[in-house]
Amino acid sequence: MSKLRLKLKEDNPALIKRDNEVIGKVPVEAENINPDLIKDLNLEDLKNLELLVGKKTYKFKDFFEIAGEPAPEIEIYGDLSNFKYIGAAMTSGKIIVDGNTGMHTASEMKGGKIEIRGNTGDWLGAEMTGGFIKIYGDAGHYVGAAFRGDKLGMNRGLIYIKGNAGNFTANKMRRGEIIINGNCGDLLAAQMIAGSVYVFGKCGSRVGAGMKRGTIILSDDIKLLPTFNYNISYNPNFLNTAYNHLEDDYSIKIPDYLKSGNYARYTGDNTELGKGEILIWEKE
Amino acid sequence: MQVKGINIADTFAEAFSMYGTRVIVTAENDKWAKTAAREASGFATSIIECGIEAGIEKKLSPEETIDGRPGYSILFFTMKKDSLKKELRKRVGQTIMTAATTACFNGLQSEEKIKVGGDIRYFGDGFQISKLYADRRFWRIPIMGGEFLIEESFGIQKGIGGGNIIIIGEDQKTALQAAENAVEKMREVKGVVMPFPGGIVSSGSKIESKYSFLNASTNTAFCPTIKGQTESKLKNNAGAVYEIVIDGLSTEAVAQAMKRGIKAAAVPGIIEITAGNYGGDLGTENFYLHEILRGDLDE
Repeated sequence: MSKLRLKLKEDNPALIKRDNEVIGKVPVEAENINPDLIKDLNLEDLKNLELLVGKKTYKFKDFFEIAGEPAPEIEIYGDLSNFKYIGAAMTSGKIIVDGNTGMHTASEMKGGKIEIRGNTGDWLGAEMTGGFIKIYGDAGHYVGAAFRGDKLGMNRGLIYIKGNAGNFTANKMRRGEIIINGNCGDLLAAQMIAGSVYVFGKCGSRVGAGMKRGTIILSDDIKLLPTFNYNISYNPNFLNTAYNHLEDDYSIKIPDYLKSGNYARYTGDNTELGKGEILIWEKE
Repeated sequence: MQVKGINIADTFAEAFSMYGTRVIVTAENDKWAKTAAREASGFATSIIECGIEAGIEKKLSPEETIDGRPGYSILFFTMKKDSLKKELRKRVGQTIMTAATTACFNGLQSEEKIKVGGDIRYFGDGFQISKLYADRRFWRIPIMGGEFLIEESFGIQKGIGGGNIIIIGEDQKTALQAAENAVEKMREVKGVVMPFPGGIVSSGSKIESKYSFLNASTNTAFCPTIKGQTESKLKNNAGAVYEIVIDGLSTEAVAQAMKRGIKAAAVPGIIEITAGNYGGDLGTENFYLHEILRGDLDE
């Protein structure tokens, strides 16, 4: 199957230079890096596809060395940490970035797969409604969250972060799954409506603040808000199904220790509906 | 036609189109998975009196189940979609959910689905929790033993009910052993169940009776103790007759099971292997024994 390969030019229009030294980068609005759009283009149209850099408009060929041909699968090489909206609203296809990406990566994504082999910025997968996001490094704040003023965050789909995530992860999440292999910032799953969030590292403060429903699975103890009730210490069978699904469907490695032993079940937030749950794995 | 010297009647089994589904039940250990599976598929020999036909299809290892626990797959069949949903809801609710440590999953990927867990969830009285994994919705229902996990919907498909073979032996022991051999081989076929006790029918019926209040009565033509009193289909040396009824998710699976069953039942002491039909006017599928044995349906 054909692929499109894009290599970021070392010298590109987004670089801010002083005395020939790069001192910064202008954000690039890169929502055109989207398989839905690219797969049907011819090579010439692809080269002339626009990228907005600050208030100026540039073309793909100004930024990338292009190899292969327009296809549903796109591989990008380089540090794209100033590129925003990569894969935003994509519905199908696959993007692999061998490097970092900027804010809003895969935000409002509807389907397909995006894989970032570096770090990514804030608002990763915000308000996504489908698809699979895999981040090899760290993600910023607001992973799978709702945009300011919106009622619903992520609503279906799966985000897997092998590194750490920032604050407000899963804010107002409605459906779907977020798995964080590393640590997570404050206010994890705040105002969560439903869905599942797994953190295999440590968490910041105020986990589940204002959550209505949904499940937060933690491998490390936390200081819970006083508005959560303790229910039981048990081994929930549904987690076998959940873990098998993550391993079989998404090749996500679940730490072996989490597959046995008990979890403490807390429910809350009692300032809201009180039907959310936090399951904390209990060390022997 | 003969198989291993045993006469195979030139006749056919008359079967019916039914709706079928596969339910996977798992539990903490084999004991409770088996208990639940047997309860769920119990009293489900014939839709005429039981409302549903069911049987255990296969024992499943932990590696074969979605939650990594031991389990069993059970096939259920009814004539109509609505009745399948209604009967399944009752059986899952009353025999699987009530069995200790169990969980219940859809085992048939199909476009057409019936909501079962989606109805049973209300037992949770508002404390049930939905989980959506890769487009499969599950319900966690709080119960006294912990939590009951059930999939929201179960796939259904058109299947076959009433495939059958009839084994005529010289005596009861021989006929029963032949029938047991046949059932053992039939159970190796995926997608079929033999819904009667032990897979074998000891009291097959005909669809008429001298009594006006009965729709069916004993299959007099195959009852050895009255062969001198009736228009019998049995030879003088016939001592016992057993029938095996096969329900399957496909025509091919039923034919394959019949073929294996006939071959396994062809042992010394068996007089003839035949099949039950109503002249071909009632059923939707006719399984001709000679065709099956020739492998015509394998292609």
